[in-house]
Amino acid sequence: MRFIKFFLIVFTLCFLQSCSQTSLYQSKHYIFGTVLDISIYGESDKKAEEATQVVLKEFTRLHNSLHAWKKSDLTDLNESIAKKKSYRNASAELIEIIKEARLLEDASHHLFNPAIGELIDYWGFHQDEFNPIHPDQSKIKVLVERYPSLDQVLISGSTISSTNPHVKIDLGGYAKGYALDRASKILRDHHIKNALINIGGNIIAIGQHGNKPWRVGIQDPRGSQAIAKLDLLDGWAIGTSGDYQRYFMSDGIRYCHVIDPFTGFPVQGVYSVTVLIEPAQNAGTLSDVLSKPLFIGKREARQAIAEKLNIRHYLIIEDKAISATQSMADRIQFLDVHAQKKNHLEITG
Amino acid sequence: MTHSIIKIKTTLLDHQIAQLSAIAIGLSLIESVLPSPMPGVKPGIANIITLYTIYQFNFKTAMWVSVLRVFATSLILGQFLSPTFMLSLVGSILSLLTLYFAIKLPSKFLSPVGLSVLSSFAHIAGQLFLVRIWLIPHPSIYSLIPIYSVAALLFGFINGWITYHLLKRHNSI
Amino acid sequence: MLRKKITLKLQAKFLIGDSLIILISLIFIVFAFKTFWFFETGSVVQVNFQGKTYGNFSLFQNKKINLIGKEGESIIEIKEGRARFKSAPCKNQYCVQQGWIHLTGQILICIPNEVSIEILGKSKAYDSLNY
Repeated sequence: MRFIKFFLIVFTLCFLQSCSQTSLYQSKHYIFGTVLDISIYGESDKKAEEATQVVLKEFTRLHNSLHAWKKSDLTDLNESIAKKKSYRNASAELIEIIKEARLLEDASHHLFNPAIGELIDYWGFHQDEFNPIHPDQSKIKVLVERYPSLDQVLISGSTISSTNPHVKIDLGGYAKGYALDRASKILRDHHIKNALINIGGNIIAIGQHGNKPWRVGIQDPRGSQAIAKLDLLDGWAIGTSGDYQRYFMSDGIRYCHVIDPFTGFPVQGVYSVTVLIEPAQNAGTLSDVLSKPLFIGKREARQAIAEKLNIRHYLIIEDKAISATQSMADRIQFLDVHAQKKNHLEITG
Repeated sequence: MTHSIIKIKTTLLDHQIAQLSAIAIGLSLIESVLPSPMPGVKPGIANIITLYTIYQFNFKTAMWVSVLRVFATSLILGQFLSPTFMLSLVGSILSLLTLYFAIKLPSKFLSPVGLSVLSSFAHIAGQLFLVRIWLIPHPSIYSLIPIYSVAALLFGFINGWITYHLLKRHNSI
Repeated sequence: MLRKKITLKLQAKFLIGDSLIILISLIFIVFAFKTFWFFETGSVVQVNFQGKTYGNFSLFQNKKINLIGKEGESIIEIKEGRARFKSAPCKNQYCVQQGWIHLTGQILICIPNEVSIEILGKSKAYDSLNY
């Protein structure tokens, strides 16, 4: 009897000790035209919530400033350019962004070209939902031969103008990454030491997830789960361009939102390009921008493109092949062994 | 040609060991056809014989009985040298080892029940160890510990209890 | 030495040492559950084959995984948030008999064929998805 009493007391004592509390704060918001997913580790809910709110405010601001087709500072600028007028009192930020983007456009030999808004609009990707269109070869040719480029954008003080009225700036391949850098800065300014920010699939890491690094999955471009995972270390960013999120099918052909400025047509045959960027002030921006040149560029040119743009870690999933640089292959772990075997992993670069 | 008859001299002890082993083997076989809720979770009723032998005879005898039982059962079931056999053997060895030291403790502290529980925990510990380093070298094996521990305690207790009653009955006769 | 034991044993069923052992066992069990056992529904099943992790698969898909081990073919089935051994070449068929598992920490093992499947939950395969 005394034995049973003992046992009951000990048992209760054991269970009274509460289990560990997870100090992982997670929040999801629909903003900036996409999903923002923030995970903050090791901070009080209050602090995490506060910092998240600041990030949300910032994103709303960016939304209003840089949206490609909804009323924003950017659309105002594009309007002025179309009317051959000067856009005055541009924000320092907008000017900085255009300058940065131009440098990247040049470095990528115009594979990354944010000035082809007219083409993107033509293909119907300046809407929230896209309808299939039947491409008109001649019309596309006209659009391409207008050769819009950020090189034709002139900045004088806070006034922006362009020599080419057909320049229509679309920061689609830039803004998300830029927002990531902004969010990262805000969280760090708030003394948040460990966080993972995911905006529309682009991710940047701060610190770690407790005692292990943040782990990120890479979407299978033709499936619904992750095809691989890797550790995203402090300050690193990852971005993917793919043909599976924004696209439409027409006559059995897939037309995605990544347009080749030289042909005027969406890229065919490439499913996704993932780039891993090392810590830098603009790591987030680069993770967004740098996947495009590799996505658009010809297969033979990839190595040269990667070298020129200093992209050391990338993964490309195509119709019948998966290729990656050695350093990328070393970092990722395929979650589906079949995928790796079926599409024999080719090491490039 | 001269007839050679080889006669093996058997002692009473040999016979007794054989009998005990036979019972133990029988229990093992019965157990092997019983469904178990989870692989590795077994009542281990043959251990009753082992424990009983320790009391009625001595440790060495019990050791013989136990090892014979493991070998013979596996041969009969066609599992000789299979992973199952290995697990059984390792479990039994560790169990016996623990008993060897446990019985050195003054016996007014430990009855068959306590010994049985100790030996069953040693048994599962040995098996989990073998699985971890050889069969499934993966830390996920640890998730089996809670359930195995409950089984060890429960069945250890029951077996010890049965052993106690067996001994009581056999010694008052 | 052991003769003494026989007579003493008749004293009582439970001796103090027994209680101690049982107590410690219980404490250990509680600890074991808190450390090694989870009760939540899992989202990923990890398949281990021949000592290595073969892959992590989402439970929210319908999938069959065929593995040819040294005993033969093991077929793992994933369906509607659960996983099981659909068929196995081993004699005992323990793994198949266990049926479906879906809670984090649950594990099915086929020792002869060196295959095991475990449900992962709280520690997801990854923290966030890049797409």
